Formats: sequence, C-alpha cells, structure tokens
Amino acid sequence: MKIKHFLPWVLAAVSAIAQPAQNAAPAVAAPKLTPVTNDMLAKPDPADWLMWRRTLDSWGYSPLNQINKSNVKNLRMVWTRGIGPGVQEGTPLVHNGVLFFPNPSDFIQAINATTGDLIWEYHRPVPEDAGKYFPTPSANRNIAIFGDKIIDTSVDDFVFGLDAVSGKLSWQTRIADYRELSAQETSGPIIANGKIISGRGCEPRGEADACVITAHDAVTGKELWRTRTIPRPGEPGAETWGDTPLALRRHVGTWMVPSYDAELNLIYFGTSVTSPAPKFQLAGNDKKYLYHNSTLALNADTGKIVWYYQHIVDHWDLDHPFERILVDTVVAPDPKEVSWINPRLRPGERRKVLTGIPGKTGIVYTLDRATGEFLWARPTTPQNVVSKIDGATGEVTVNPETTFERGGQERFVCPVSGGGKNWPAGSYSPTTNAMYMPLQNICGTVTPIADKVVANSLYGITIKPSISPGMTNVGTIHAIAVDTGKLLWKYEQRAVTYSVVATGGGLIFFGDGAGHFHALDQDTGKELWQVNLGSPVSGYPIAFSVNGKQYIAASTGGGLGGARANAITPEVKVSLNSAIYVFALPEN
Amino acid sequence: MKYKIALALWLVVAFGVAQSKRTVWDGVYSTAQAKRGAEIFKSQCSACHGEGMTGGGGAPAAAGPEFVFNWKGKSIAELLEYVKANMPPGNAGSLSDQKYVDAISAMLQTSEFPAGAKDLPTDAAELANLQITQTKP
Repeated sequence: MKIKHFLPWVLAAVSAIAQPAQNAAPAVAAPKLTPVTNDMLAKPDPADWLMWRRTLDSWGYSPLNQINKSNVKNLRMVWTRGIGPGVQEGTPLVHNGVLFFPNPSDFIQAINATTGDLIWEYHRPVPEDAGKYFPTPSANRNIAIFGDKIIDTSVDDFVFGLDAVSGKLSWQTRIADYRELSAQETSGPIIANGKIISGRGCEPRGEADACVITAHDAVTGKELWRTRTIPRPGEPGAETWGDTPLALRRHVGTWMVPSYDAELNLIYFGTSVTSPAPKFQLAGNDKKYLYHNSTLALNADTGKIVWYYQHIVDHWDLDHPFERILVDTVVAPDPKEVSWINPRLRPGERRKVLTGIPGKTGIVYTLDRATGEFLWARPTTPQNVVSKIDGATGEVTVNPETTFERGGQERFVCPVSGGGKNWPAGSYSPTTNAMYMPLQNICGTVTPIADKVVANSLYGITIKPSISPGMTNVGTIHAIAVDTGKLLWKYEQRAVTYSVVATGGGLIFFGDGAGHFHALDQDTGKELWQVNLGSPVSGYPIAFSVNGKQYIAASTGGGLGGARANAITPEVKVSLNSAIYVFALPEN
Repeated sequence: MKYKIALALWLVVAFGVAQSKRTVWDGVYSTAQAKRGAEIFKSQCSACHGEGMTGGGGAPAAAGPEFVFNWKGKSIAELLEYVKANMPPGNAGSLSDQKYVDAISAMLQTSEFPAGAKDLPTDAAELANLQITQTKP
C-alpha cells in the first residue's frame, strides 16, 4: 500500500497502560494524529512544524503572524520542561498539537504542545562504548515524521521508526556497524518523496566507506541506496586525491540536514573537511580531494551525484555542511557589495537558486540549483581564506598566505573552525526575500601539529581563537537580500548568536550564548523583545499554533563549541542547563 | 662523618633530579581516578570538547595528539591552573580541585599515557614536577 493512497484517517487513542511501549514510559492519554503525507511535507499546515527547518527548502520560516511586531513585547512563558543530559541542539516537531522533541542520546519525547505534559518517551539504549568511537555521540539535532511514525538515526548507526502515538519502536534498519565504520549520527533525516534521506559524520577509523548518504523506504525502513562522498579508485573524482593512500581518504562527512527540490527531484547536501585538514599532509596543496567542502546534488531516486560545486579546498577545519536554502528569485547581485559575480547573468533574470551560507567561512554562495552553475558570492564576517572566485567558472582560489607547508607553521586565519557560520541555522523570509544569518566574528592562529599525518589526530591542527581584528562584538545577525546580495542590516552583540526562526509576523527570533532569547524587527534589526533563559539557547527555535493560538519554542543547553565561543567573551557567565521554553501572548 | 654528609647530599640531588624528571609517562594517575574523572568530563566538559575529548566545532582537543602538542613542555600544575581559571567557560573555578584533577586524569588516560598506582594529587608543588611531553623520555 502506497502512502500517497492512504485515506485520511485518525489513529485511535490507545490505553497507555494496557499497551506499554518498548523502552517507552507512557504518561497520559495518547494523541490523535493525522498521518503525515508527502503532500503535507511539501505544503505543511501553517500550524505545524514537520521537519528540521519546517519545509524541505530549509527556509526555517513559519507563516504564523498572530505574534507580530506590535505585540511581541507581551510574550509570556506558558510552559517549560527539562531536557536529558548531553550535547543539546534539538529541534522540536509539532503536529496536531503534539510536540516531539529529540533529547540528546536517542531519547525522544512526545509532549502536549500547549501544556508541556509528557505523552510518551522513548529511550534507545546508547552503547556504553560510544564515546570510544565518536567525539560527540549524544548530539541529536532533529527527527522526521512520516505516516504515523517518528523517524530518526541513532548513535549505534541504525535508522528507526517509532509509533507516533505510543512511542513504541516499529522498525529499525542498521546502516553500519558503529565499531567498524563509526558514522556519527548527530543530525537526523528528512523525508523526500517517501524516502528517508540521512547524512552523517564519519570518523577516520571507518575510512571512506563510513562517509555515506543513505536513502531508506519511509514505511518499511528498507535501504534503497547509499552514496559515498569519497570516490573509490576508478570513479570520477578519485584522481583528485593524487597519491593519497586509500586509508587516508576519509572524514568527508555530511553531518547536517539536507534540502530537497521535489520538482527537480534533487537532494542537496553539504560536506565537511578531510582528516587531517592540512593538505600538505596528504597529496599536496594543489589537489581538490573531492567531494570535501562541496555542495552535492543527488538524484533522490538513485543517489547518483548529478552535480557538485566545491566551495574551498580546506586546510583549517572550515566545514561546509550547513543549510542550503532553496528559493526562486530574481538574481541581480549588486557589484558594489557582491565580490564575485557570474558575468553571464542577464538583468532581471530569474533562477531556481540554492543560496545561504553553506560553510564556516561565512561566505554567501548562490548557485543555480538545477545545474550547479555559480551565480554570485560575497563575504559577510571577516575572512582571509578565499582570495578570489572566478565568476565565470566558480573556481575558488585559496589565499596562499593561509596554507601550510610544514608542521609548527603558524597562520592567522579568518574565520577559524567555530565560524563565521556553524551549525546554528539561519532563516529565509519570503515576505522580504532576505536571509537572516547567525554569524560570529572569530579568527585565530592555526598550526599543524606535525609534518605528516599523526595517528589518532582528527584534524592535525591546533587553533587559538580570538575576536576578529578591529571588532568588539562576536555575535551577529546579518540580514542579506537574496536577489541583490546587499546587506540590509546587521545586529551585533558581545555573546555568540544561535539559530534563527523567521515568522509571518515580521519577526526574527534567535537565541545567544549568554542565554538570551530575542525578537528582532525583520525590516530594521531593532530588538523588540528578549528574555534571559539562563543558558545558551543552543536548540533550534520554532513557531507553531494549536487551536488558533501561536506559540514560540526555544531550547537551551550546551551545544557543540558554544561555550568555547563564550570563552572569548569572558564576561558571559552562564549555566548549561538543558530545557525547552514555550512562549505565547497572554489570553487577554 | 664526611661520608654520611656526602651520601645525604647525593640523595638530595638524586631525589631532586628524579623529581624534576617525572613526566606524564610515569603512571601519574590511577585507573579509578580516571574513571571518576571521565564522569566529571562528561557532565562538565563534553558539551564543547566532545565526549571523545577530541574537540571540533571550534573547541580544542582535550586529549590526544593536538592536546599534547598544545601542552608539551608545560607542567600539570600549569594545566590545572589554566583549567581552573577558564573552565567551564562562564563558570570557571566552579569545581573542587579534586574534581579538576580527576578530570585531568581522564584526559591523560584518553591521551594514552599509562596509569599508575596512585591518584594524581591536587598539591600544586607536586603537580609542578609532572611534565607533559610528546614522547617518553
């Protein structure tokens, strides 16, 4: 039976006591949930938040407008709830008034979205030796929903489906033996036309076979295809590794969440740096080492790489796996602000573009998402690693003053691996045709630790971060026009900034490393409201509504690298408590 | 008498040399202490440095080759002083000395320095005689 032929139906409420779930602790009456279809994922109910960035184009935008510029100052907290221990960067999903939350360490909860009361929870056992194989196994950024299942990938390298009503494990499929391939599943999947699409980090011990993007049937969990991000010898791109031994062709991960264009049937992933990062330790600085630090467009049915674009040959751990924003727009980059422009662009030309800030360099790249053609790019925060991009070809020239020839060589690099941009996601609003990006002013001194590859060293470099020269503020939100590339406004503060959600109310919500959760005017960047939540707002905020009432959800905790970023703002003193906070307007 | 004085002087010098030559390769922490320290590291440090202590995402390694490169030639006392003054960020100095050295013992274990019979002490003078070196002397 195909999902698209499902008749609308409602899952019967079951007695939690009569039918206890495996590894689940039912607490209150089960919810009524409408099964989620491909059509619903393509055009979600404005009330719902059904995937990581709400829609498959990764906009991070909610059309809800009950909370707006004039009344946001009245927001009040309506409930809060603690989150389990571990690296906390979770994204709630909301469907039919139920909030599903991925706590760290494969701990998933269903919560009444208006009261915070627990409906069910599922604890998947995490192997005791996970820390031996993975740097950060507990991180669990997002889950997916399809049909009547909550879907996630696990620390022990399975993809699994839970009954959304009971929290009971319905099926699971192994992706890899975590002790051998060590694929780190810090991000969960999206659902693209009935397929579970997931990427992952890949630790060096697993070599190239760990670095895979996978597709599974969203109903049965059966694996449909897997695509390596490192070509095997004989495959196109393998020659770009030169004489690098096969055992050192590794760590090109896809550790963030992809986007999907249903019309083109293309999935867009971004990739990471290699291990080690400095290329003189592999086959030299003149090779490309595909497909590291690239955008990959994959056919959703086959997994075949249709096109790729490499953003930079990376010597410093400047990954490029972040959200790819898909927009249909006029492409009219303003040469006064946009550094690199394709000379073939015609005035007023409209394109289906892939845009945003895909990597830690903080550079905005806009590509034609059907072909991968380079259209334009511009820096945002200070950077010195890209010296030129050829507008006609998109070929990127690395600044030779930032690359290495030997161990112990110090280079001042902007940004360093905390970004610029990092895993906190930006948003796009169709009401302004602008993107709103959390970016940091962080540079630093990078030093390779040896002349050659060192066993058990992930990147082979050390980094001493500092605030960018001439800057006093670390955290920023940049508002950038998607058509012209112009900076519309910039919000700055001392503490690092985290993920954004844009809303139809003309608001830009984001949290920061000092524990404050803010609302800005999308047109001016003026702060309209803020509240101190006490700990870094490391989770991805969302907007949703239940019975006509709009809510905003944010979550706190310790996210990867966040406290380190706080270390260069020593006056920022916060706790690291993990909790969800939900806000709404008062009844009257 | 002269013989006894010479012996005493030799012992003092020899003991001093032995003290100054102790490094992280000499079994300076116990397995039990590293186990305690691993729990402290998990709760206090892993959000930035990773549960595997390898760093990444902007955080430096807290164990392994990059960590040892950063701290080579320095003493455990200097490491403890830095950690107490800066970690956890925003809440520096919030742990007891015992918990800090327990966490450091876990970092040494993950860096594959050998365990010994005794715990890593909290005394700054003793820690000042424990050097971090990349290779075994």
